[in-house]
Amino acid sequence: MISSDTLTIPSRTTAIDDARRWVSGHLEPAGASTAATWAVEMALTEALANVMAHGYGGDESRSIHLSLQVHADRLELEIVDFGEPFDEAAYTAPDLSEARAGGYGVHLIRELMDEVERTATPDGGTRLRLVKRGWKEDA
Amino acid sequence: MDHEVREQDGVTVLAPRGPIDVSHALELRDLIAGTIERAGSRLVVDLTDVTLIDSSGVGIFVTAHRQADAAGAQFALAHPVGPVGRVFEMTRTNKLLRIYPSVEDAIAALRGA
Repeated sequence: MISSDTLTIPSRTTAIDDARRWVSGHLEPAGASTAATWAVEMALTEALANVMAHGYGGDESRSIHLSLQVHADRLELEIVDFGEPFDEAAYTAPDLSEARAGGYGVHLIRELMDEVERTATPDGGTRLRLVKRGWKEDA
Repeated sequence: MDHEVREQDGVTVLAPRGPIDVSHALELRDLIAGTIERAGSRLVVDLTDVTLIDSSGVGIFVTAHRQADAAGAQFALAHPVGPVGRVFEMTRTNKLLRIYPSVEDAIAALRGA
């Protein structure tokens, strides 16, 4: 592993910018491509917005825990929350044949990342693990 | 949200700066609505200095496009830089929205319509 770090943010939308800056602050000095940095920032933004709006239902007093690992072959970002779990079984992908005013978040995360895995933590939380490969290539 | 509003060749140009995400969505929506609710008005959102657009931002632009249509106004986006514009392709909203490579192109298109 090249580097790793953790960050805890409040469940306020204004903290999303801080989280993006934290990620890019690690990825840019490590030599990540513009496209990879953008993809991770996008996926992080969508994931945090989902936790804040749906998991925590707009409760700004809660916390979200982030963990970033930079490996030679991949970036791993984990997002842990203790809100209402996302119901994978009830999720249906948006119909892209007709433009909508919302509902693209999960679709974008899956398109942007190479792996998306959601698991329960032993202490009752939800861990969303996002993996981006080929992060030094401008693809 | 840091932004600038200017008039250029009879078209209102709104130029936000930085990321457009859920924390700025309501402000952006209000800024846009203030212009496109008038029949005959023309608005270009200049994306030159926008560093990221999330799904809430895409939603604001889709709604603005439809509101402009309904009000008899015109709405366009201009000059997404780097990977920023990919979000419109990934959501296929680029098939609905009017997106031009430059502000000048967008203004010419709106003035010619």
